[in-house]
Amino acid sequence: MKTVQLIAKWFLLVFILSAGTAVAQPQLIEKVEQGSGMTIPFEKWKLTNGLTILVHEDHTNPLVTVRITYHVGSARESIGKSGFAHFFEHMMFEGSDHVKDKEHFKIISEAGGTMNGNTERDKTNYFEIVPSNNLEVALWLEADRMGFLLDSVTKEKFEIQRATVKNEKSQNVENIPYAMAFVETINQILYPPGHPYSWPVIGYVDDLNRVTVDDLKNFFLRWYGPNNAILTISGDVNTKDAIALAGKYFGPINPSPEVKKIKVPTPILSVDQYANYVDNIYLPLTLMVYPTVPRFHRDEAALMLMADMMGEGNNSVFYKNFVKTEKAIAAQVGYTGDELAGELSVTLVAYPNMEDPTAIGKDFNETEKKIHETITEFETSGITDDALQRVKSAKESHIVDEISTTFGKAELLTDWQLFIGRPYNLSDELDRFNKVTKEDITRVFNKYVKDKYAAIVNVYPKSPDSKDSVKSVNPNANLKATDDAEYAGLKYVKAKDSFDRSKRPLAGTPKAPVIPQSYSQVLKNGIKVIGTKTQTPKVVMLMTIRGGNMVFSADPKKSGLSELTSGLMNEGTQNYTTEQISAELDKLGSSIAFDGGRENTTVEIQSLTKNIDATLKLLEEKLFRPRFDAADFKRVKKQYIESLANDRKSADATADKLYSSILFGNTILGAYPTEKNIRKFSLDDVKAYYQQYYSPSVSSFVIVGDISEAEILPKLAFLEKWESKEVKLPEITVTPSVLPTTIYIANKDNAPQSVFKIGNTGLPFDATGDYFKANVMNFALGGAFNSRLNLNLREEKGFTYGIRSGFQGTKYPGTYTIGASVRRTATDSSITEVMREIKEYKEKGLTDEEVAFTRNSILNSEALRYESPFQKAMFLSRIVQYDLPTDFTIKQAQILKDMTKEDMNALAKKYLNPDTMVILVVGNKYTLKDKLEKLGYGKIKDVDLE
Amino acid sequence: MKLKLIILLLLVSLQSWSQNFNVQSASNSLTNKDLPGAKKFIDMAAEHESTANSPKMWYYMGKVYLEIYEDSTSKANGLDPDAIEKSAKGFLNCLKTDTKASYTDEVNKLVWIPGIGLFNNAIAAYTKGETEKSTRLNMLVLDILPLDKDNNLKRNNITTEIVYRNLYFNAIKAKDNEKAKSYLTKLMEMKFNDPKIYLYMSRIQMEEKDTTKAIESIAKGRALYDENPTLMNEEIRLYILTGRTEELISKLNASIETTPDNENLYFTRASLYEGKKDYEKQ
Repeated sequence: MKTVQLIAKWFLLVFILSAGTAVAQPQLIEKVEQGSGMTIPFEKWKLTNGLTILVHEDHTNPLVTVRITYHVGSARESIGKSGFAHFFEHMMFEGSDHVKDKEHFKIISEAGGTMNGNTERDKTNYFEIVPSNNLEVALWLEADRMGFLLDSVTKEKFEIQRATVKNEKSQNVENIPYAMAFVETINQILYPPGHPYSWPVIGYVDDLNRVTVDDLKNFFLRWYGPNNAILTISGDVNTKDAIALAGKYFGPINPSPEVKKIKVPTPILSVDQYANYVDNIYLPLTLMVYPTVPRFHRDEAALMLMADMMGEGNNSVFYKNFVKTEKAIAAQVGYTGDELAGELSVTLVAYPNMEDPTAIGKDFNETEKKIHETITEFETSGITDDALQRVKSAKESHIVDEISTTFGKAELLTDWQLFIGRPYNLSDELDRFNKVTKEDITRVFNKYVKDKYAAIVNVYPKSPDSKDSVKSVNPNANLKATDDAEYAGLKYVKAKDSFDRSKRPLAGTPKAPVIPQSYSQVLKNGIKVIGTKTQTPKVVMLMTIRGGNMVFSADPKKSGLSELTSGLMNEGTQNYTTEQISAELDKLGSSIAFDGGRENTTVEIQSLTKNIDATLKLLEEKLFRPRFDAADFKRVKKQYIESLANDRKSADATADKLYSSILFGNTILGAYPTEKNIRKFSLDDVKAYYQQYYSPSVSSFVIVGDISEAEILPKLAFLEKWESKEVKLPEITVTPSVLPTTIYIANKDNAPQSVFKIGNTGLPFDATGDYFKANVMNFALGGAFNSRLNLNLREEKGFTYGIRSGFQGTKYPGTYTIGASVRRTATDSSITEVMREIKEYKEKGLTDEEVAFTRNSILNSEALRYESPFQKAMFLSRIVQYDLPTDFTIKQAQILKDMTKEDMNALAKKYLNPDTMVILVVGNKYTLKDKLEKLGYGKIKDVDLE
Repeated sequence: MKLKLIILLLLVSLQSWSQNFNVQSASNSLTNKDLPGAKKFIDMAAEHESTANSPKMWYYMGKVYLEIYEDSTSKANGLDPDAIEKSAKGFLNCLKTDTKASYTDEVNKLVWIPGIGLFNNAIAAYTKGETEKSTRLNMLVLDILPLDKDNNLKRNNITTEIVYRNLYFNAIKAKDNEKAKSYLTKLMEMKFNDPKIYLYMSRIQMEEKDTTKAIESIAKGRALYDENPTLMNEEIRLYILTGRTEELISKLNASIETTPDNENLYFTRASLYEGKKDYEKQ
């Protein structure tokens, strides 16, 4: 008996001792193996504090996406406290116990990575994409801000971020045409008062003004625990190692209170709900939204396909009834789904009524009536097997795109786990859509759309003499925010570590980036072909036809003909009408899009590998046998003219055009398409442009996809039928301006933000010469989040949501530009700070720390440059456009390693010229002019678009 | 005698002329933005027999009182708190009496405007507990709605259904169950898309101790809104109250057959089994 008791006590002692020092062991919950066909294999683990960890191995490229999603968004806010989730997201970048303020950005940037966060209605995401040798660093950073944030939240940081968030709202909502309709107005009428989706994610300004530091701290304590988060690691990792590291850094963190699912009834509209407002726009907008079901509901797949059938592409009833008949410049039907509700939306941008602008009320009535007629027409004739198959093919193509990067895969894995608690299964996802029948489409049409009510926003163009500006109005302003019981009694209990968390982990041995191995050939007629093979079962092709509007260097007023011609190339061919060829492409899940511009016409072709032959046949048809139909020309020309007119309301579009025009004057580089000039073009002009300037002699063809050189090259034989002709491209040199720095101002009535561009003419592209080196020099000034300009104007002063600078050049002389959108009241101060920073950078040069930061950031980032098919395509396109050796990036790396601080400072002295710059401001001239004149740059010059 | 007749005729036509003069003066005052003057003249014209029912008088009554309602200074001075009601009546009566259609076009362009003021004032009256006034104003809105051919009221979220719904709320506040039920019935006939109207009807019927009709009302609602949790919960409550648990379980079993991934149904059935203490089935 005594022996037994002794043994029992011994076991008890061992148990107690081990319990006191044991690290909580992660538990494997589920494992999904690589199957045949497309799958995303991964493992699901759980820590004792509730953190869910998903790990997917992908060794294609030496990079990893680390993503943390917290199951909290604006839907967890309450009346009077809108915008908290998004505001808090900003605070998560302000440092934590072991990570200094702004250091998170700096560490990731120096590691060669990218990072960001975003807040949605139901979740907040934070991610880093880094070279895989930095996995531990990324996990350490994320764990630090999950478990050790609050003590570093100071009043000063809080106030700066409050200003930044308000700037973000001003820049991205109030100063962007139509944004208010989509971000605020529609939600106020679609959802009942008090519904978590009835306020915007970014919040109302009065709520943001009211929030206190303690409010935000409580928000963090309530929602930001490991038990309310999913950590997803996707990329070049070893699962066992990743789990061990996650356990080490996240394991000790204490959970937050239990988080229960929000339960609200699906919104029902008893009658149509209307809201109307006036915006600084040219084209009236109607936005009509039907409430539907939450994400992953059994009807979701049918609803998504139905939306595409109704309003996507040239064969949809909405295109036919509105765009083809020239009633609208755009008419689309879309679908989005969130955790609590979904939305089926009809968006219509109508042409203005030039005959009787005062009849706009009647016009909106007519539009609404026509929308309902079109919906009825869809019911009677739009639900066909053919149409359903087309949208299913497009959906399959889209799903393939989603899984082509580690980031995309991380997002899918997380969302399935978060919303339905199931492992992501690609076959199931494809099945979800493939199983939808015509009867399902009819069923969901009857259930959610037919004779149902919608929320309808009509956006009226402002009258020319009106001084009103778009204002966000909080409908809950008079309601008192109540104390939420959920936030009572929350305590911050820091984790207890068994290691020194203050020591930043070192990055592992870096792996060499996987530079795409390419093949190349020059076809008999001069087309330069270059390609690379990938694993994704899709082929992306980019054809570039050099010329664009540059061919009109002797007559810049013809600028715009390149765009107009490409518009017609997107229409029908000699053997197919527009609708027929679109239908053929849709059935394949393929797309072919021509896009003319200033220097080139690019043709982007996408196809699932299994459909490459059929897609290339259609490319041949489009490229060699365009229809150039008179009715198509009339419509496309009208669309282009009206979109140019609409662009006048955009401060960014206005700034882009005027900036080039001021810098390059009356040359082709300074020209931009205008409504007046486009009106003069005839169909014969378009035909002549196509005949003269679409030539293999100036073309290149890039192929990226799951197809070998031996397979694809024979399939491109049709390109050799293309007859070559000489195309003369101009040689243009630009003498740098010696005129003193001058401020130019273009008016935008009552703009809450000013958009500015500051700079001068710059260098043409040069992969290894001064162009490349000058951008290296610029990195610490304005090329990164942690650059001087951004840290000053955004983080320190709260003037802007973001500012960047850089050299942009092509084969032709480019520009050096510093650009930002700033608070109107801070326009003059912003310009003062920018000019001061440039001068100081030029005179005193970089610090040693900045040189190291620049070198490390750029060198290490190469691992991230070749992941997606488009990244690969752009890399190869650059090689073929500029006749670069395929290993030019190795030379760039060597140049970067060899560049000294003195080299960089010499470049700053040579290429930063604050005394001869153009400062262009697009904003409220009447309130800004006097203040800008006091800056000492002489008389302000008024400018306007032609 | 002849002279007396002539004098009499003269007097009558003088009077008639003077009332027309009042209408004209009201119009002139309106043009000159003299609202108190316009009100005085039109009120005088309204009281006199010769102009009391003339379409012209009604037309100007509509316009004068609309102007008074919209003018912020006259609102502040309390020139006439019933301005919008009088304006609406003016326009409506003008349409009724305008057999020659002299003013119809003009009135049709304007008549919807008082509709908005009436609707808002009706809500304000309801909030203050003035249910009679609120009902009266809502009824006027109902008269105006069919005349709004350009859907101006609809675009301001004022529809027949919404007005009837507000009339229901008025009736409930006034504790008039019969009226409340009549408005709910009207909404159901109009297929008003709100599951709550079936709940409201059921509650009135329960108050009247008619559980059979109460359950029928909920059943009608459930047939249209089979996933609505409010109606589901009410149905459960009523079935339990009336001791019809087994019947409810059968209904749920049938619903689960048709929509097997509806979690609410399982939860409800489990709750019922729990209530019966049938833990195995739960």
